[in-house]
Amino acid sequence: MFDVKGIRRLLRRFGSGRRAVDHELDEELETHEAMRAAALEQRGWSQEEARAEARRRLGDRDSLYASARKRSERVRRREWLETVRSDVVLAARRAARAPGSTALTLLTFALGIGLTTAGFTVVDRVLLRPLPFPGAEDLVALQNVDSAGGAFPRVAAASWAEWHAHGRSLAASAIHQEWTATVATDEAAFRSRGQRVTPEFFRVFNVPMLVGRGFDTEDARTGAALAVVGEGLWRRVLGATRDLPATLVLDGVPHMVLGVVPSGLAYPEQTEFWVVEEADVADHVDAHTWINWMAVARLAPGSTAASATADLSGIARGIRAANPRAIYSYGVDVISLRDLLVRDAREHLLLLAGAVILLLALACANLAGLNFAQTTARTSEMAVRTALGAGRGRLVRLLVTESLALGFAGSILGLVLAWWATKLLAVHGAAFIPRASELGLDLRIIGFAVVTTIVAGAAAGLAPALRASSVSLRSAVGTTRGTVVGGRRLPGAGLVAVETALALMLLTGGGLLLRSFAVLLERDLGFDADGVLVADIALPEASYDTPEKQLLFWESLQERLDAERGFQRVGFANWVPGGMGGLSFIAVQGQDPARRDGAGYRVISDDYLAALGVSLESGRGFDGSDRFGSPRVVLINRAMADRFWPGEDPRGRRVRALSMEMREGAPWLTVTGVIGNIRHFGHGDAPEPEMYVLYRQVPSWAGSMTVVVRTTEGLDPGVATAAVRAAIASVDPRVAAEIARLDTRIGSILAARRFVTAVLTGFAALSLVLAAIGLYGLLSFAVARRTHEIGVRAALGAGRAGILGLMLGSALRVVAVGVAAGLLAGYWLTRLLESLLVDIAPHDAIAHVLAIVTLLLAAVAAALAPAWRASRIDPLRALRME
Amino acid sequence: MTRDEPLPLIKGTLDLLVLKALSWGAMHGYGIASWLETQSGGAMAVDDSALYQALHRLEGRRDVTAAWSVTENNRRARYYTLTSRGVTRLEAEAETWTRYTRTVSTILALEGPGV
Repeated sequence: MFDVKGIRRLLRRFGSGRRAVDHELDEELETHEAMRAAALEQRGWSQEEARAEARRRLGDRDSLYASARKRSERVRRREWLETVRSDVVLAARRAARAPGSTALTLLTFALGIGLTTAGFTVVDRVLLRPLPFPGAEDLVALQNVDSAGGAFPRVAAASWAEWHAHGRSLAASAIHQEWTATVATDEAAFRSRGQRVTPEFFRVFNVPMLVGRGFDTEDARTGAALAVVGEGLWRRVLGATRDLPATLVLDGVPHMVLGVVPSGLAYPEQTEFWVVEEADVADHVDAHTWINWMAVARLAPGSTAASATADLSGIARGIRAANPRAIYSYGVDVISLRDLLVRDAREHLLLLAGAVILLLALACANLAGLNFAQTTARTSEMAVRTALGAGRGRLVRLLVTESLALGFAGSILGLVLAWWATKLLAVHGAAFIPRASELGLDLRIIGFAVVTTIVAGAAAGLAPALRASSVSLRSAVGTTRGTVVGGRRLPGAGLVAVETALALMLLTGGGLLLRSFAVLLERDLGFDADGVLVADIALPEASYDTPEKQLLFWESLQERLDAERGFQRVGFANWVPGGMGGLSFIAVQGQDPARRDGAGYRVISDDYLAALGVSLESGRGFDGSDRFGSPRVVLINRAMADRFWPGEDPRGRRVRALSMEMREGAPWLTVTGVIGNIRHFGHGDAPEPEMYVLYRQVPSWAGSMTVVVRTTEGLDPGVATAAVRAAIASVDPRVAAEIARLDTRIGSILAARRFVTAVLTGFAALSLVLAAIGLYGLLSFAVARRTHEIGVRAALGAGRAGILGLMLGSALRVVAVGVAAGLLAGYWLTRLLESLLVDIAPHDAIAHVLAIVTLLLAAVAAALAPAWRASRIDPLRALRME
Repeated sequence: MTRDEPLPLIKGTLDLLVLKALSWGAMHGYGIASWLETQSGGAMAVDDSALYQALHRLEGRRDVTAAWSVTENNRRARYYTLTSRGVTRLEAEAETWTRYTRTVSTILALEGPGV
């Protein structure tokens, strides 16, 4: 049967809402006119005159239409607001009546929105936003390209000088190099991170100085000691003076401070001072291989990274054509500075973003599942509402509003969570997230959270709402009587399967990273970091201006520390594990001199290896017979022995450190012993060939060293640190040291990996809980709905074990589908992890089996309670209940 | 101005009068108009067009609501009722109006030098 009125109403509403109002007004005025005319007739007017007069008094119809439309517009808007309000009130009432599932929904939303927002914040601030400098999109880094096409972040001053002089694509460019110096004040001396830079450095970044000015070209030529300081150092040491130039003593040399960089605009991050220097362009055959600078530049207007690459690569090829030993000069790679800075973090962050999205999808599926169960349970409520005249649109809106209302309540909690998480990252993430200090919430992020909430809330509410609202009264009444509903038609089973699949993917990823991390930690570092303190010391140049004075300091300090009762062994070296390192070109006696081999080069003291707990594999270590001027000796590591003298005894063989000992004329060094490989840069480091020379024989390195102290077991690190500091002060109170525990330094190298592993494992655990909740909800609902069927089965003689098995079986069927889907999808996804895995393949069987077993155990645990409830159903009561 | 000519409506008073009319009970548009004419002893002519615009305004402001019903003569008519908001407004505006007119009358009653 056609509902003509209904159709007309619909047509009016969608096609011509305004005309309905007009019709209504016409009808009203018609009555008015008739009544007015009748009254006039009674007063003796003729019928015609009365009609005309009545019409006249009503005046212009159009202005009445306009005012009626305005009225109906206002009324309709208010009615809409009122239904929304009543929906929200209904939702709140329902929420209050079912506190358990409400709390679950709120928590799911809070976690989903909170984690997604935190994840988006990190990706947005670190990967998407430009650097905080004016015109940051034009900032680039210049890198060398070697014969294999690989880019080197370090460049030679000589090469850069030619790019700078002849390149046409750069508006400004500079090179810089780290320099940690001792800052001396009247009260104390401490170590501070600085950079040596060429004059154009601040023009590249266009840094607006807080006070004073940056460097200009003339500054370097004068040879005066000039500096620019960061806001922090300016406040701490210079008392925030606006009276520049002020004086700052760096490594004993007074520097004139010309300007102050505002905090947040330091480049590289955490730099506290900059000193100007002219690029050292030595006219030496190897000058283009001394790659110990970083190059930054600002592109000229109209240039791009690609055009600059082409421009500068031409110059680089010219350098190599003129100088065949310029082996890094096969080209120049110009890349966006931001991309270079975030390159290492990029992979980690994208992985986390992916994990967060999986988790959000899981949370949505869970919410939809909860809604499904609830709306199905509310079938009769919906049917009654329909019977009372609620349209389908009204019901869908009611259910979606309920979902959105809970969503917004939950996402407020989520924003708090996100705020807290980003604060935490900003404080503790600096070690492994570049630009961590820029993290924080803002309107963009909150907008993101709002949009995510709407999408998630609507997604979670809409599907169940459409389904529930389509139930007719007759079928709703029908389901409660005499029908037996089978397990196959469990509503929401598909959602739980999806949840299982997502959880399995996260579990597998987390498992792979955990396994990889465990394998990594089991690796032998080659030294023992426990109970070892390291003290970085740079001697002030002013008072230690000769190698003799420098050597005297180290020997006095060694003596003082050796006398300390709590210290077992004391040594020192120019570079220690967890710090910097240096490579040297080498020449190996008896091998092709055209080969450009390289090896790590380290300058150490007699007791250094013993203090680190490294023992000799063969040969002898350094001793008192090795003096300045006596025949040069060298220790090599296992990797170097295997590379250059495979299967032979390297003792007595000879090698030269071409680049590192250029100042000494690169004499021949005789190998006296072989030590085990040391992973200087932590567990992830792969051993490379390395050589160790004695500090007395190369005094030019004695300006700065790191002292290594092995303390006796059980000595408090704080006490030991104080003792080291006191010993240094007793030798020379003007010398500052940065003292740390070696195990902490090594551990912090793994911070990023540990963070990613911890977060992904946490997400995996969370996903497991969510999936378990989903399964539990689904099964509880199914048991409640199948009470009658189960009662029949029990009456027909099915045992409790049988029913228990039946319910568990139907749960596991759903889970099995999810596991299969998850394995298929995960096969591709775990591949993305490959580069983060150490010694573990992405299809590692153990991780997969563990993930599946964990998931199945969680599934059984979640299913057990409802299944047990099913098995306890009393057939008599179940049948009577219907 | 003679006594026989209808009084012109002062701007803004129509809303108040409509609210007053409805305080006697639900009425349709014509009912309001004739009630006002009767109660003013024919001294006030209500412009029908202005009356309906006032009703639209009041309904939009939620001072009155409307519903269709049937008159004694079996005609379909839209009946207007005061809402609780409308009652409040009527009380407030009647009070203001009374004070206003009393003040104006007092001033006009003063014996000036020129009149």
